[in-house]
Amino acid sequence: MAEPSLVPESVVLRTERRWLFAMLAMLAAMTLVIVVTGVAGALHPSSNVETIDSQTLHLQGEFVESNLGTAVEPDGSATVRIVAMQYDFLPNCVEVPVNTPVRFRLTSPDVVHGFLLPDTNVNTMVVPGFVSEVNTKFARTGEYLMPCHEFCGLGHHGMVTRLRVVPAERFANKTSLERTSCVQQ
Amino acid sequence: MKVDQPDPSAAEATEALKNGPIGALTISAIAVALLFAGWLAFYFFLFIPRGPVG
Repeated sequence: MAEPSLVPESVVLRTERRWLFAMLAMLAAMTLVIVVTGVAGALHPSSNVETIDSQTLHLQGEFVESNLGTAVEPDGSATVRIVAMQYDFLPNCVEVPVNTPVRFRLTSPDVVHGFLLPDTNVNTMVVPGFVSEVNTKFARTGEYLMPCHEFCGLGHHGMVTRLRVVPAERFANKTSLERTSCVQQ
Repeated sequence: MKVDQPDPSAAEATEALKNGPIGALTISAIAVALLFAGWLAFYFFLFIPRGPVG
């Protein structure tokens, strides 16, 4: 037979009830914050589902080598096309304009890679056979490291490249057919 | 750990706990409140300013 508790049972029940209400209130507050900001700010995970033939992506389509890098769209935004492969990104230095909507489109010809950008919420997997697409905007210029963060093989630790955020004026005179990167710099 | 004070008697313990373990509850409440404040701070000062990705 259990020993009688030092704390009266009514106190135990009252304390547990209050704790439960406090936890439910916090849970409700967090859910409310997520739902309200999610709806108001149109926040959602990057959810592009687009397939591509990973065996021929280097021969035809938008991921041929001459089309990789940063392209300026007619509306002034930028589209960056990158191929992630063991064990590098192509191009392995990316230049994007500051305070401009940037759309990243990535794919992989071999295994699953990761794509993560500092100071943004960009964080996605690059899966062979699919095109990953994420949109963001950089608030300040600078150079950032852009690592692969999905283990992709023995050389994974060396799969890191650079992202340069530069003044938008540098892209002002680019035509929509030009592709830029900072590989040679 | 050696404690100089004698163990409380059952009557003293009962008297101290008649309203529940207030001290433990206070510490727990502070810890949970800090966690909750930390969650809010990360959400509003880090996650939201970084912008949507879509």
